Amino acid sequence: MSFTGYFFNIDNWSVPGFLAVMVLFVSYLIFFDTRKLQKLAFGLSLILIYLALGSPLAKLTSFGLHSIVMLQHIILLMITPILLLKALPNSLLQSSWLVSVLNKVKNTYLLLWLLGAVAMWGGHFFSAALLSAKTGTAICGINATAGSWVTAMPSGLSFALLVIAGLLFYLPVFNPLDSGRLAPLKRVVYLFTACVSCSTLGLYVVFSANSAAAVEAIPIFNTLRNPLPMSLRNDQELAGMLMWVPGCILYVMESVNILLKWYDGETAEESTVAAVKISKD
Amino acid sequence: MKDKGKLLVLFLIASEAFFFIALIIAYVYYRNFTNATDTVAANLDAMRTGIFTLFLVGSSVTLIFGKRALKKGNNQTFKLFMALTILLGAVFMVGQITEYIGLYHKQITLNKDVFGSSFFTLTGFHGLHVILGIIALSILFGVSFTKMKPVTLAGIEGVDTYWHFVDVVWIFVFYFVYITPLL
Amino acid sequence: MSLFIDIPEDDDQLPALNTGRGKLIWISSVDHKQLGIMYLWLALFFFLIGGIEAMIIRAQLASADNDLISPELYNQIFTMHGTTMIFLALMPALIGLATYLLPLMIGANEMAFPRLNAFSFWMTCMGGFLMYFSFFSGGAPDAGWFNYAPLSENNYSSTAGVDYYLVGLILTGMGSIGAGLNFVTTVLTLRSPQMKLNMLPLFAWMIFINGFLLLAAFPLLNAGLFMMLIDRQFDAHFFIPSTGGSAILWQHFFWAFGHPEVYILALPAFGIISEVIPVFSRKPIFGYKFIAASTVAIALLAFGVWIHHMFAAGMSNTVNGFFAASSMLIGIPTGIKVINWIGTMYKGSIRMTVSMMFTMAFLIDFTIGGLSGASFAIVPIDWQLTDTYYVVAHIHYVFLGGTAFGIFAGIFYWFPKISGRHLSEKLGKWHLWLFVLGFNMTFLLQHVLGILGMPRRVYTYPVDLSYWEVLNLISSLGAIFMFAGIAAFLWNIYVTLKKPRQADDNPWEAWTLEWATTSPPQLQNFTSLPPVHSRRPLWDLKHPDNPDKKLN
Repeated sequence: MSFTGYFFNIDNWSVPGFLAVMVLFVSYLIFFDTRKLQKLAFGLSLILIYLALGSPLAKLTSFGLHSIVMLQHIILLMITPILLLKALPNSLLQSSWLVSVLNKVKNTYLLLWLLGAVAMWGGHFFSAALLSAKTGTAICGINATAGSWVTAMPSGLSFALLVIAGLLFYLPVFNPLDSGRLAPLKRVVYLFTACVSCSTLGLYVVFSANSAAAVEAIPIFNTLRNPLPMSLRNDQELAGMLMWVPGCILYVMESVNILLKWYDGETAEESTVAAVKISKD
Repeated sequence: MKDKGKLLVLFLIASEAFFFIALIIAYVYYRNFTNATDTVAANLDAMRTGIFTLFLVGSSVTLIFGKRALKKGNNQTFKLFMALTILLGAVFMVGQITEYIGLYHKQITLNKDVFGSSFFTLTGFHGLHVILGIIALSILFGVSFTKMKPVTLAGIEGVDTYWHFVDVVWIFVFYFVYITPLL
Repeated sequence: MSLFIDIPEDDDQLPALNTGRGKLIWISSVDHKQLGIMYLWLALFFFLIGGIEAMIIRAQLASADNDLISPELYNQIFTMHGTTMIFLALMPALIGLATYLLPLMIGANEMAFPRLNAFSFWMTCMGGFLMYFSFFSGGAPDAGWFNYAPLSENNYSSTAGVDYYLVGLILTGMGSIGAGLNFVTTVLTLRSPQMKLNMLPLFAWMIFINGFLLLAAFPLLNAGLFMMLIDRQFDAHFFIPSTGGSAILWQHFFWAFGHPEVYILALPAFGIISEVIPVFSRKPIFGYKFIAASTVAIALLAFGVWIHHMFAAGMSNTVNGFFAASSMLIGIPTGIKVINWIGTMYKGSIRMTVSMMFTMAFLIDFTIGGLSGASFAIVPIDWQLTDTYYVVAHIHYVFLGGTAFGIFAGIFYWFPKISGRHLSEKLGKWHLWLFVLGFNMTFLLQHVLGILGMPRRVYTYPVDLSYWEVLNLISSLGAIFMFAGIAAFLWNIYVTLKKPRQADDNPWEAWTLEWATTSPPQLQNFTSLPPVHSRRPLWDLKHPDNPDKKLN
């Protein structure tokens, strides 16, 4: 079937998902008093979540396309958490429990970094096991039987865990409370070291596309009927490169943004004062 | 952080981490991305090396206690734990060397095949870093007996960081070289 | 017993070399200023040797079917020319300027680790001399400056030349890592307490970021070098395909180092330009935060583009495509810098010193080099032009037109500070015009030669290929102009060093802290510092009614 035929087919768009997203957005607008930028951020994050989970993009994963899954995960793990953190309403920040937790982030950043890294590496091991269980072949040396516990985990739960891991990982950098953020340069180092870890895995994914194991598993991955016809090798390489290049570029843009703000000489107090002022307007 | 010694060692180990990542990448590449079969792995004794790994990890633990004692001023305790650290590190090296000798007797050397090359290079460079660490620890230990005790206090942070790095690298090397063939 | 031993120190900041004591002081020096000067002399020495190698290359290529030197010797000459210029001329020059200026710019009296500083210098020295010793012991390395496997392995290169390359670069690499460690720790721990990190002079900031690049890139090179050394000396199999190894892995390791290396060579030059342009335009730098932030972007992206050196190595289209995209992207931060530099000059009151003129030559020629580089990001263009003289033109435009012009601008700018004397502007102008003219003559037409298909590293070419001979001849004539320009430069240095030390503290009316002390500085750089509340402390001192925005 053609690409446009696939995307314009209403059956491939999740209607309950669309309704849920609308309800969430409207509730956000009604119950919280937030700045325009925050409303935009929340709306965008909902659009992205819908794109990742309820649009034809999500259904493409049923064709076994690694690159589409990668795109989903980049959206859910790397982009949406930033938007959600930016959209966090000030009224929620009044809760003293939340404030004390957010302030502790500065001291626990190593743990949060590790959590992000473990979520990524562990998630890949988990997915490889899941795929191995579904298809019966070894994926990158990982074997799992059809009745293994990995198949019992609902996909909704794993997606939710992804978003939560992303939120926690990003806290030291994008904490809504400035007092809970690391110093600007430390934030850049935090992101860069995560980038190295992610790139190493991306490297592995790309260069393993050629290896013998991938070639043997071809009959299982029938991509002939999918609207994005590509060979297994191309799909795998695309997946790895998505991790690497767009992921790196995203982190570089975030780092540059951090640095530009820092160079203006804004101190932490100044920016929170400015934020409080604007929200009062 | 204003302790420039510790800062220096942190950046040094970050730099060395890239070095070891490169060597590990070479190893993983040969293992997973070529059609060559690994001839070395079958001759490795993961259990034996695992025990020696525990010795190395133990030496990190004793070093932590030693540093704590030094900072509190308990010089006798410090000397004890430092000696233990050096001893445990030396035991690890003996384990490595005897393993090398064992492999040599089985005709597995640097030039056996691509796995021999990458195994000995990776573990060899790690061993070299361990030896350098033992030398640094020994210098601090020796100096603590003389009138130049403040030097020990000045140098303990840097050497401590370096030694833990050597330990962590070994965990990764052990995983990739000894554990992954068994999976 | 006190651990502090009071050793009498010499008062003379630059001891005379004609006494034995003076020589000993220089050899045993751990003073960052003396080490910086030694780095610069080392760089000049190897630049001249590399230049002579270049003259030999151009003489050989001036006419078709030439047999001035044998092909074997030609291979050694072009390999050593590239290796020398990059690792023994440009790197030491930049590291030398940084070693000299970094503590002064941040208001410190010394680098964080003076003995490590000396270690770095002498390692660089040793590595260089070891590599050149190879000429006397069986032949220099001859597999190109990036030394691809399997050509560089034992079965194709059986002389010891490649081993000298490997060991020599391991030594200089260790020196560079030491320098990187020093730069980073010095900026983080020895800044004047009032100087926040976002107030650093741009040269200091670039050196700081460059330090991280040095620390991350050189270990990758060292890993590859050690592996190849083990291949050659112990018959290992890392990069030999016939026995299970992978020659492409060498390419990956080398270029994963090699690409950050070109930014290591570019960033300090950008820093020099960012210091020189504001002073000689009498305006503060336009867009400080953009120049500074784009530096970090370049450093981060530098590790994500290396496959563009390997587009012709047979990676898949997917991989090539992504790296083409990232390679095009990395041109953007540099472009931002160029715009900001031009923005600084706009409506400024330009002082046409030789330093400023080299800077303007940099802006033009480095941009040309950047454009030809960006053209390589387009994979089909790369496939056509890889390993041709188009690449040679590109690398010389960025290395010579970029880094070297930046170094010349910096030398003319800081010479009064370092030696207490001004280089002659008249001789400097001869140097500049001869060199810039010769440079463009040599390398501009090499773009055309590359498009016409002349491969690089060929020791000669047939006479019946149209235009090859005339283009090569013009290229070689340009080299003669460059030779004359450098001769003028050497004469300038010689004549200037004979003059008495007369320079003011701040002859260019600049605004950063290195100009707040004598020229040359005393052994202890500063006895007191002016207050530092902005990025231009000396401006604030002179204009208390109109200071820069307070940043701390």
